[in-house]
Amino acid sequence: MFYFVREIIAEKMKFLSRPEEIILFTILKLKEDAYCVPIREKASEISGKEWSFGAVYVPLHRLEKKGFVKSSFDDPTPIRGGRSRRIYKITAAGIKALAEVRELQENMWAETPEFSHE
Amino acid sequence: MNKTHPPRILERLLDYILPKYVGHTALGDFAEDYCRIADKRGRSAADSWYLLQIAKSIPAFVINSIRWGFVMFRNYMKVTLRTIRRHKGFSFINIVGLAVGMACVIIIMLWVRYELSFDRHHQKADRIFRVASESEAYSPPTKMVVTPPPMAQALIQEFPEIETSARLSRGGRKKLFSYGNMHFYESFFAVDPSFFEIFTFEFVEGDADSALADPYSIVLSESQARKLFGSQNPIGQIIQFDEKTEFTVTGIIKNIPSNSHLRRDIYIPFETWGKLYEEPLHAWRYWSFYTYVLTRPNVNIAEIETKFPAFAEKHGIPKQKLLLQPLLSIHLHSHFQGEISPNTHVSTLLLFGSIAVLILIIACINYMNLTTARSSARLKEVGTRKVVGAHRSQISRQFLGESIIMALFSLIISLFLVHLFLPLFNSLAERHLALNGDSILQILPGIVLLILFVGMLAGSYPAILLSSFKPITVFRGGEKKGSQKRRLRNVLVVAQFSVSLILIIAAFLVNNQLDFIRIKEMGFDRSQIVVVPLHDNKIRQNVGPVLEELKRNPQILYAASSMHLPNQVGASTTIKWPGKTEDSQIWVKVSEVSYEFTELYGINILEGRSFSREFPSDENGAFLVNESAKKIMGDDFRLGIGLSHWGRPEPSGQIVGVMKDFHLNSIHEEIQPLYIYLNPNRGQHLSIKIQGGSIPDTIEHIRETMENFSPYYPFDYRFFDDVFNMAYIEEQKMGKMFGVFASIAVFIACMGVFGLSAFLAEQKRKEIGIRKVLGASVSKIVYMLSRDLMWLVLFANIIGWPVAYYAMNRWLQNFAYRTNIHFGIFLLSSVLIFAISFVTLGYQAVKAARVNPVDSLRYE
Repeated sequence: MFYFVREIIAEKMKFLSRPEEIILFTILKLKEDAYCVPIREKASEISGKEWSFGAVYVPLHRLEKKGFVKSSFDDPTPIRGGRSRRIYKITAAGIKALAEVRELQENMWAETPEFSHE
Repeated sequence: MNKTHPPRILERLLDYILPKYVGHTALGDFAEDYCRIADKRGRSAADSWYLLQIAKSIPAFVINSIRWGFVMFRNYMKVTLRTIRRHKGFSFINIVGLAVGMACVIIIMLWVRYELSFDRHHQKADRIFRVASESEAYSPPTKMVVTPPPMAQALIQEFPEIETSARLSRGGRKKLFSYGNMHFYESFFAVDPSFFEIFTFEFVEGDADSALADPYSIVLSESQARKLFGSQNPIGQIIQFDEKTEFTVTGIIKNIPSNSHLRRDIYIPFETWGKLYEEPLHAWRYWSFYTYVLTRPNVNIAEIETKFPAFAEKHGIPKQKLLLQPLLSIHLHSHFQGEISPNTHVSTLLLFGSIAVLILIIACINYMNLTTARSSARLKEVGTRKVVGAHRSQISRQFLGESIIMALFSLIISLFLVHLFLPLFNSLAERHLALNGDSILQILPGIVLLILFVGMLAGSYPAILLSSFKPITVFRGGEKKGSQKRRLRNVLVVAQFSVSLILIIAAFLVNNQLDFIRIKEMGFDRSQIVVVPLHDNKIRQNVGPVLEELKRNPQILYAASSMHLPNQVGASTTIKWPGKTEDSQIWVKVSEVSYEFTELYGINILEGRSFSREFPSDENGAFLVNESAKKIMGDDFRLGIGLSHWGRPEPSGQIVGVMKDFHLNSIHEEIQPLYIYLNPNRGQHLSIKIQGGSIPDTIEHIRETMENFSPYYPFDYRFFDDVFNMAYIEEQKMGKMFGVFASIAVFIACMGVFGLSAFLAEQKRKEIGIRKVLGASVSKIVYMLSRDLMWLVLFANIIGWPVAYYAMNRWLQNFAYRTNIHFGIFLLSSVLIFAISFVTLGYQAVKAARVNPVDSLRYE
């Protein structure tokens, strides 16, 4: 029975929130070497507003829990005070989720007449 | 890139804030960015960036945890309420126990707040000081708060730091005031006009500057004015003081709050009073007035005090070490001779504070024991939560939260209890505490801390224990009965009972010491003595005929006049005798009395004789000294030598005898050297020893006599016993309060035992059934059920005894004369604890043992 409950919860959580979507997209773009520092920079660049680290960690953590990204640790470096980097890689499920979002967006825009905004 | 590193302290902070799932790599991320910025824009820019990042990161984490926290909180709340409802008995014990404990702590908090608030309503309180002195002329050195009358003026003149000063006198005792047909004895303060400038009294009528400017003006409190004049305008009314003086009302002040060490309803000018009573207002050797000073802002008190020795030398009082007592420290820290109102010892507050905390801890132990004892009932819940994915920390947070919710419930009940029992406490402690919005607001931080303390303490052990269950064991076949769990519970029970036992022993011993004071041989007789204050100057100066008239009644054995009662000898002076080296001043206690004084009070004469009419030479001056005074005089002492006193050069009479030492003041103090001088005409009191027969008739005779001799003054009398007991009222209050608190502690501990034994009986239901089927008697089963807990109580006794002995021994050191610590008290307390716990236990055990085995075994 508990397994069943877990399934329902997991199913519900498959949707991407907006920050999650942006972070996931950033990881995709960065390809290699996607760890927090460049992710934050890139995300700020894409969205045009400053992201705090806190705003990056939470979606990253959720993405990982949902199985859209997976992380690994590389060797510690002195510049990081002897701490290792946590490198994120997008998984197949992650790519699929992004593709779904894109498809959804395109479907929505396809039927909409052209309009311009200032 | 340079290898700069973010400051350690900031990293620690960040590490603390970051949720654990982020892990150490996050610190690395921050360090990396920090490094880059430090490279580009310098270290300080990097530092502020780092701080900013911390600040910015907080909301994202907090919001996340709050949202989920709230969802879970609703669930925890629901489960808690369900548990309370399902186990009404245990919840009742828990909540009531905690509520009583918290009520004790809240009352003590209110009390402490009240004691700390003394004299704070005076606006210049931080600049007001009282002059006190430590006299090295006495042996042992004596600390006192009285000063000579010229000192106040001298201080203003010689110390630029002192803005103004005021003298205050209590005027000896209550005096007769009259207005119209109303005659009443009332205490008052005689003060300098500057008194109202130094202290803040709110004037309803008149004003502070001019109120006492006129030598025949008087200031009353609002309540006093209402009593006298009703709704009439009080200003300008004339009040008769004693027999011949008239004072005009010039000011009415608001009633003085009870948390003030200066409280009187009547104020008259100091100078006028001094003239009326022929007080030596220029004498530097006449120490019986209070001096208050107002310093200029921002002066250094220590600096003033360094100049005091020269000041004292200049005015001929070299052996007095003068001090300045801050007004705000008087109530809690000044315990000198001659205090105006009884002050509170800080140690008393600490003592009752710790007792209240102990009671609270006992209640918390109840909670821990009952919660963990019933942990099996929650096993499945914990197991399920863990299976669904709860982390251990979440489970323990749930149980901590539960105990905090319980604490909140208890708080509500405890506030109700405080409201109910505060009047009782007020009458016990003679305080005016109130539970209202104002006082609650002031102790609010304390209450919040209290909730957290109770929640954390009571919830900690259940949280640790319950969160440690492994789901697999839970679901496979129940938790094995861990002996470790029971051991800790036993330790807690032992601790509970040790504390209760110590409190009981302490309560007994405190009351023992008080009884000891009450019946201790003070060196004078206390029974069947009537004391009549001498208000009338005419009688005072010619007391002989009154005494003779009084003695006409055969029921009156002795009648004597005296300056002081034997338990409150207040005056002191220097004496000289032949052979005494000139340079050393010896201060001794002094009183002046009439014939029959020593016989009346049963004071033993060790050498020589008492004052006697058979020796006409006594009329020319005679002294009695006590043993301590004789010791001071050393080899110079002989019966018959002349003695000069009050600073006179010539001897005023000769020593006729030596009295056995008797206690001159509180029993806390050692007996000081004393002499008494035969002079019936400076008496303040008549003492009358009566014998059996009808006491009301005898008192009627005394009344008639007094009214004959002084018709103007209403008759006023007290029994010496009562006067004597008044001095120990503080201790008696303390003894009673101690008893109450100790009983509460025992009560809560017993409630715990009650709950625990109910649980044990429930757990062994089937065992009891089987034993009974196999032939066990009820008494056997009661024995089986109570054995374990009774062992614990015995153990508590073994621990409690030495601790109580040590603690009480320390406490008794405060008294100069103390009772022995009787072994009997310990035994009695233990028997009491055993009896009470056995009754609570026995009730459950008998109930369980009498159950019909059919009922407990029918499902097998």
